[in-house]
Amino acid sequence: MIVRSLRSVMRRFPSLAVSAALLVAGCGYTSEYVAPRDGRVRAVWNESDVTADNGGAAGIEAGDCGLQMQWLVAGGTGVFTPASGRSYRHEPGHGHWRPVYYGEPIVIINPGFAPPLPTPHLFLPPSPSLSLFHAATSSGVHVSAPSLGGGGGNSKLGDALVYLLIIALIVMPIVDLALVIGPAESDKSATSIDWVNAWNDLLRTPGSACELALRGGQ
Amino acid sequence: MIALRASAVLALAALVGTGGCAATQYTPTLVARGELTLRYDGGFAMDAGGREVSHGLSWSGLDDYTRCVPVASAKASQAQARGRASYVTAILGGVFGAAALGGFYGLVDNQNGGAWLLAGVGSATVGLVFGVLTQALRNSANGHAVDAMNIYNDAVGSLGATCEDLRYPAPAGPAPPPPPVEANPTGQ
Repeated sequence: MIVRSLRSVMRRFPSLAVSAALLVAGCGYTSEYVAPRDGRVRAVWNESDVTADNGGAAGIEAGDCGLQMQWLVAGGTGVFTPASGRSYRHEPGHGHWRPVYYGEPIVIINPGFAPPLPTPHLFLPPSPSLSLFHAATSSGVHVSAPSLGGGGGNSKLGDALVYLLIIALIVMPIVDLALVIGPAESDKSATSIDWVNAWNDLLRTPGSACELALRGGQ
Repeated sequence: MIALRASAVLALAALVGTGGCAATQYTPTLVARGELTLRYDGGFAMDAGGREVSHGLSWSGLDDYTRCVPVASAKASQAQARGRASYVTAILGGVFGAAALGGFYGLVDNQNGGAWLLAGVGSATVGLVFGVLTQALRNSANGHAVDAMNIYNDAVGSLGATCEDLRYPAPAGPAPPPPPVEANPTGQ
């Protein structure tokens, strides 16, 4: 009796596992937000992590700009001199940064509400290097269904099913609690946020490697 | 069997112990007045004006901070709702996951051993579903909050205004002309 019921459950186990895999694969959230190409870097959500969207500044993270970003995230201040020999300065800002943007003056139409901005204001003068580029990557979770394999007599099969149930009973609560307790995010999110924050600071610093690269001066 | 249980406990402890260790290292220094910035230290948080405005998964206060941009505020409200829901599913997942351990009683109950094991696996399966739901809701809550931040920054924060004091600094120059449309090689 027990063996029969166990066998019935185990027959359904692959479909249960496939259902779980589909659920896990579908548990990410992909944002519909599209960053305007205005020269500002943004942290955007992709599936289960934050990724960096460079706001149209494709490729400028290569070369000295990328090196200066790494230097800045690692705690660098003052003058940065990469192997290329060129020196770049970066001093931490104090107080609020006064945004430098290009576009029409923004006029409040309804008090208390931001006016619609049909065309995004640019944070740097237009440059040929402004092109849409998403640095976002996505990751998937793959769960493989267990195979029951071949079987012998009823008693051997019954023993095997019992052992499988015991293993499932050990593994499933661990996975369950890990999903419930463990954070959904990974180190990738923290790294992406660091890059976005450092990148924007450098884009807002006149004479930094990134600001020069975006202006086409590198 | 004892070894199996011990290894399971160790695996769980290691999993829980290593979770949430990630943290951002860099604090932005050139931030516009009212601009929201993101950081991560075991959980997401948003700062503006040198103070924390909101943090996940509850994201309380974010809808009010972005209230002058209705689309952003609506996204923030959705983030709050999903964050609250994730707490409920996490508790249910934890309860069913812990209850599944009762299935081990089947190893000592000779008469109803199979029933205990089946009940345990069933409970673990229900817990697993709640666990997956929890992850989905967390992702959705954080994703909506990040959307709210970006939409708000695009309209207000990065341009140097806040909803409390909706005054923008003057632009540094006129809007650039749109780039000329180039014909492709086929002439289309």
